Amino acid sequence: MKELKLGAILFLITAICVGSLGFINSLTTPIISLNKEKAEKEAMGQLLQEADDFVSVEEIDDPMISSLYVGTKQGQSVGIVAKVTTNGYGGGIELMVGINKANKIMGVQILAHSETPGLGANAKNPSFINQFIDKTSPLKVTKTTSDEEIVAITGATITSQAITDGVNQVAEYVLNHQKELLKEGN
Amino acid sequence: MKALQERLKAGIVLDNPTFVQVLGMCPTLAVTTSAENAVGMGLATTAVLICSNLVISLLRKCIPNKIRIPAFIVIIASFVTIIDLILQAYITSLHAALGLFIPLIVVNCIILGRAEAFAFKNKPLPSMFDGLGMGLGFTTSLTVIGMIREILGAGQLFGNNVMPESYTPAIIMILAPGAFFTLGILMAILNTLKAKKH
Amino acid sequence: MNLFLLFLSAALVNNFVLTKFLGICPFLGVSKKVETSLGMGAAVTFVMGLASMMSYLVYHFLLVPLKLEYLYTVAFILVIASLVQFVEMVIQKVSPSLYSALGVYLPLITTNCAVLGVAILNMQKGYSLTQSIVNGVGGAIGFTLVMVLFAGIRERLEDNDILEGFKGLPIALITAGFMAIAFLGFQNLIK
Repeated sequence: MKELKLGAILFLITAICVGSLGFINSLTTPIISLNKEKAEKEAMGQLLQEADDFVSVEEIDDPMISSLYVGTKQGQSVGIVAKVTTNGYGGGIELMVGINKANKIMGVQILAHSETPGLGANAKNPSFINQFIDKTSPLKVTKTTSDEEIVAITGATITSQAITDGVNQVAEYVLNHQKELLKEGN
Repeated sequence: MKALQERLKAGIVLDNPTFVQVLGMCPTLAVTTSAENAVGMGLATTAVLICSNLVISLLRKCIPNKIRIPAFIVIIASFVTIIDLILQAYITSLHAALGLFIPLIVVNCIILGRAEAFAFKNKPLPSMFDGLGMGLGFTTSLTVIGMIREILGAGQLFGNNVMPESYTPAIIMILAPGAFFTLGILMAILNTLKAKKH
Repeated sequence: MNLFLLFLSAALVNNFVLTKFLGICPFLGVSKKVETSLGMGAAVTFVMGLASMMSYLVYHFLLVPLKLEYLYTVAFILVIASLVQFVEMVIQKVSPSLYSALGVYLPLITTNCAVLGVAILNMQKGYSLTQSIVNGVGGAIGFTLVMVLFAGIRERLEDNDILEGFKGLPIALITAGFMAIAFLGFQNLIK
């Protein structure tokens, strides 16, 4: 009998806790998904500034590219934005890459990573990530200063290589599927 | 007011959870790669600590002694989940930086320790003060470690460059070994100071 | 992913104690003697393997169908706490000698963040049941390895003349720092 009472009290406490969690979860879920959507929309807008709308491409036959959008301006496609995951030093790096119709890279953004702070994490700095802008794939990583290639972050060659690989991957995919992708936007 | 002062002094100086009680070592070492993360982690823990201390103190007469530990764990885990959801909704960047260590606040010995040692035996108001004191003590220690590591390891403080151009950051301070070294040396300094006082 | 690589990665490359900072409390607390650290390591390996399995089952067959994923922290810690209790009772009944060897460490495991940590990591990385168990056991073996090595060093430190202020925990932490540097060497083992 006594044990039953103990169990009942514990159950009551757990039930109250779970109930209040459910309530708070219902309040925060919409905000969380909205934030995520907003962050992605914002990133897309920055990577392909010409475009005023984005159309999602459903069929992607590349396991590394998780989502792909065709950017359009007044119904005409102007380029694509793709989300790609590449293997960095500390795990996967999630990138968003914008490429215009002329196969020029318009910009790269890092969405999520687990690289070493102070080394690979510096890939987020404009001095590295802005190197991609206005260049054409395939790109190579170099350790010396160069205007045509991507200069690696000191002490984080693997991260630099991984990001460049991810960008090249998207560029190659777009080049191979240019016909269908551009049709999609029309 | 005096009670509050006393609890704050106990938490931040006399019974500092990190340097005196040596509790909660995992987050202390893991999230102090920058001062900003350290402050965020400290404040998140403080919030959980105040709430769990308050609730456990309010319920101290309803919870039978025998099931107190599981009851504490459920209450603490609930507050941690609440903080987790709130951070995810409103301070997304901090949530991403602290990652795994937010749910792991549950097993931070400081929280269970204060529930057992203080909140279960004291009235709600002093318990809240205790949570605030201990939480701020934890935050202070974390921030000090985070600042040292960020200055030496990245030449920055709260993301701003503070060291002269010529300074080459000692990257090891931001990597795992730096965490152990910083904490070990800080503790040695405190021990020496204490020994001198006696 | 290849299970052997996952095991190596959990045990050495992403060592729980020295690179992920999980389970620091028992690492510093119970590592004064090689013997006790072996006992603790064995108990943790046992519980972590079981906890990886149980938390996988609870998450995929209870929380996901009920759309209660956000309750994972509460659910996992309850699973671990009851698992530890259960293991304690079973060992006590079945093998009193094993109980007297591991008994003291079992209650401590509930608050070992490596156990909750591995359960959450398995979930976040979307591991399958086998992968979760391999990750849990591999991580625990890495934990044991580091702890036994560390205890061996600490036993020798005792006889040395150490600066007054560094005696005890400070020198132990600095030792751990050097071990962490050694473990950084494993980083490029798996690409």
